[in-house]
Amino acid sequence: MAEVIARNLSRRYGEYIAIEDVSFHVKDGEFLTLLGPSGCGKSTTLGILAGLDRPDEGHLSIGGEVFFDGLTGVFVDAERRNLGLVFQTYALWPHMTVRDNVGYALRIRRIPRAEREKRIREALALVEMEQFIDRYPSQLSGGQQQRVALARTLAYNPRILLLDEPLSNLDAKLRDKARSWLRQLQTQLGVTTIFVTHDQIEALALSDRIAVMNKGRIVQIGSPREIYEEPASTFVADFIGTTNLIRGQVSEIADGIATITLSDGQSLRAVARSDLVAGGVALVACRPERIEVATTDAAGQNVLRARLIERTYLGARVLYEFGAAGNSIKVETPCELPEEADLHLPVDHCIAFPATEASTG
Amino acid sequence: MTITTSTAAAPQRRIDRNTLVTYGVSAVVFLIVAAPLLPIIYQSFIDRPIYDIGHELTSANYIRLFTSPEFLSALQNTIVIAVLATIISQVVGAAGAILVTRTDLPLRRMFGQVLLWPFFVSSLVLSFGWFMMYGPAGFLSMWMRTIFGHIPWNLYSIGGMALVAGITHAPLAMLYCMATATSIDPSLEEAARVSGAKPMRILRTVTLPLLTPAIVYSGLLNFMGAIEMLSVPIILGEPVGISTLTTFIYTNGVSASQPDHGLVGTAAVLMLLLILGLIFMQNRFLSGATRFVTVGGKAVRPRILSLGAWRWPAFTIIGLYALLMVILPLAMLLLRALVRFLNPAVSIVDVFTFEHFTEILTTPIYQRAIVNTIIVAATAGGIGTLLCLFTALISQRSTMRFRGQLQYLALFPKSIPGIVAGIGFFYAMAVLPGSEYLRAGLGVLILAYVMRYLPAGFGAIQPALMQISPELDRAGRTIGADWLSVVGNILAPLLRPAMLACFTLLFVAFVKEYSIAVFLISPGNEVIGSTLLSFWLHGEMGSVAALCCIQITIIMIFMFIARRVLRVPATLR
Ligand SMILES: Nc1ncnc2c1ncn2[C@@H]1O[C@H](COP(=O)(O)OP(=O)(O)O)[C@@H](O)[C@H]1O
Ligand SMILES: [Mg+2]
Repeated sequence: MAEVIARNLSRRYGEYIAIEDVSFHVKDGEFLTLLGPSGCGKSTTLGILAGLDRPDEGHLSIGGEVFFDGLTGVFVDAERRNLGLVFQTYALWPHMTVRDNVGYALRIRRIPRAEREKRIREALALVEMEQFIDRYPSQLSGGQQQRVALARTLAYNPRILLLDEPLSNLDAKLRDKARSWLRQLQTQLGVTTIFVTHDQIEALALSDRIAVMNKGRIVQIGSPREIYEEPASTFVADFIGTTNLIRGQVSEIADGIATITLSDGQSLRAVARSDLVAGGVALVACRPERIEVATTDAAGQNVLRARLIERTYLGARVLYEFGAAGNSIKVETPCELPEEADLHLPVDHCIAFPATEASTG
Repeated sequence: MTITTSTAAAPQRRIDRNTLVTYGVSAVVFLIVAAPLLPIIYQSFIDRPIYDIGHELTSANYIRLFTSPEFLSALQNTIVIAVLATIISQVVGAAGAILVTRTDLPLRRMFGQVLLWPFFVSSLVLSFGWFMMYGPAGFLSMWMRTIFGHIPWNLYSIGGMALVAGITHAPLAMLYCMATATSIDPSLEEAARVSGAKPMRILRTVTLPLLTPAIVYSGLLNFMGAIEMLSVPIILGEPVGISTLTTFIYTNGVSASQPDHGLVGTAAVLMLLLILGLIFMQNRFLSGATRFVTVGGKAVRPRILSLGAWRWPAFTIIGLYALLMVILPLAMLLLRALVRFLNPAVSIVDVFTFEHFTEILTTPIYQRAIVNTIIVAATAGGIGTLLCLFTALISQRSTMRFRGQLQYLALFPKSIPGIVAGIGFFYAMAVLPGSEYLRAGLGVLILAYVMRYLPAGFGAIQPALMQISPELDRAGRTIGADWLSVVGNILAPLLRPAMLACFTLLFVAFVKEYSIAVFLISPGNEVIGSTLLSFWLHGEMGSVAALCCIQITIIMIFMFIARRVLRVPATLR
């Protein structure tokens, strides 16, 4: 197994920047997820790790071996990297049976027939697909194909495992099962895994750490909890889960706590990001499930008076949408809320970001 | 299972076989495309044949050519014949395609086959059939004379040549139109029907406009094909002195006692430029083709239109066409092959004979021509298929530096007329050292055939390659297979049907081919096409007909084998 060191990787298609300045460090046995909206460069990054695509600059080493270095011109071809990559479409070879698909890598490595058969069966046993060994891919369901694709990469003990949205072609129920199964398998094997997804729930549930990408760059790396609780930007706050973004003017910053004045004169306190300046425009991020109705003795609370716009029943909880000073404020709670309410937004769960142009996207 | 050690991937080879193959194939393609072109251009600027010594550069050839009345009239005839032939082929092809695929025409399946026959028979063979049926001494012509006292038509004319040329090119138009017509969304026609339009009107106002792109595109192909054609003008024009660009080149370069290679080379260069210009137009048209995206790609089972009162008139017209234009000339060949001579006044039974067949099949020189044809078609077909496969794979699925240029190069021979390709290789053999070996055997024919048909073969393989997701080869690369292994174990097996289609296409084309060969034939290396021409020049019509029948038989047997024996296994879908 191996650790992965990526430094300042960039890939351009002509003028278009697919990824830029991508750096991360994945520890041996760790499960890292690349998370971001479609088109942000996740597959490009994975292709570069696998050696299917050559970056324009940067450095990549896996398991202590340099696979790419822009300065020295080192580039190791995909077939010499000994990595495992599972594609979103599974890419099973339609003219080969499950046995041949799984055994092809072993044939390339000149493993004798008996040993090969044994390892094919082991790999298929690992994904519980032994009984399908003589089928063609077209005779398998989506979930079964996904397992065979995984067995195909596990069969030759790759240094690391790269997974490109492997669950996205499964229906919702199967996806939940496959997700926990995949995580168990990864823990059992202890193989360093880089997982790509645009699904934040998947990322939060599976990962040791998440790298959030946007427009070809990594915007934040951290544990699922850090990413969720302490988003580094309004983009991350907005992309991971749902969040309220409340616009106002920074009237004061003291001890890392900013006071934000809304257009209707109400004010809020929030943890200030270091780049926030007094007098500037701020966006305050606060999660819907953190907001509650203020208690009657309101002293010391961070209170906004708001009017109910819409109410959506979700079963276990109710999603309320309130309006205050032109902002929409979502509140998720099991309680009944009145038409007009004093909402309490706990200061430690409010983060004030400077409102830049990018902050909306 | 416990994973302990990581299994190392295959070690790096010292000489990378992938580089070797990709660059090697590219070099071969470059050489066979460049080899014929450069000598032709050079020949057009020197004062004596390229194989003589003491060349001096001159522009005299161009001046001589443009002041030669023979050349100018040949140019004019070529354009007139090509325009007329294209109109005929497109009208026949479009009408045939619509009637066969979109209507309740009686016997439409059979017509769908018969109208395509000229595609499998060379235009040379069809010309002979026409000559024997409708020529000045043709069977039907003589019959007409005995009844009316004169022949009401003259096949040895611009019109006659255009008609035969049009008929030989109609199947291509029909194939393109059929492909489009079967994918037309029937709801478009049904909408017209609901609003009260009659069947003929629907076909004219809805169906036909949707076929416009197919008609225009195949029309350009047919126009180029008519310009390049040697067979029809040589059989139906030369006897009365109507010459075209190809026969101008042929008579000045092959049949003249004193070949004038200055004129031949220059005329070849001009022909090349003419076709290049047409291809440029074609590409312009293609890039604008997105305007016509009304034709959905959905695999709908098209519902057919009822022709109503037009059903039988349409049947009569298309039936007469098939009978008079296609079936009778071909049947004539079979009949003529089986008789000593043919005269409406003499009973066929009295002159019946197998001697034409036995003569061809027992005379060593003719046997050899047949065997040579099969050897050339099989070898060039095999080499061509492999070369096209690798060209497509390198240009689409490799990271070779010159992959874009390679594709351009492989498609370039589209613009080289067959006869020009033949001259080019003829000149190249004259100047290249060591080419005696190629020239002595069938080597040069094989090279010339492969070169000329690279675009056709590429076109048979490339669409199939586009259907294969690149992730399949990327998956192969990540699990440790190098480019060649991926090609051998994944892409080639998946492309097997396309490769068989490519081989079939090339084999049939090479059995029919003759215009490339006319400049390259030497004693011992004859093929069927060149033997047909020499029989014809000696007036041995029975042998011509018999050899035509043999050629058709070879193609039929091969098509049978291709369909039945080489059939793709069902698991590959
Ligand atoms: N071969 C290519 N040529 C041009 N642009 C490309 C190519 N491959 C990817 N891109 C562009 O790079 C961006 C990132 O793509 P990708 O990494 O596939 O995104 P995703 O995060 O959805 O996996 C996309 O905008 C895509 O259009
Ligand atoms: Mg992707």
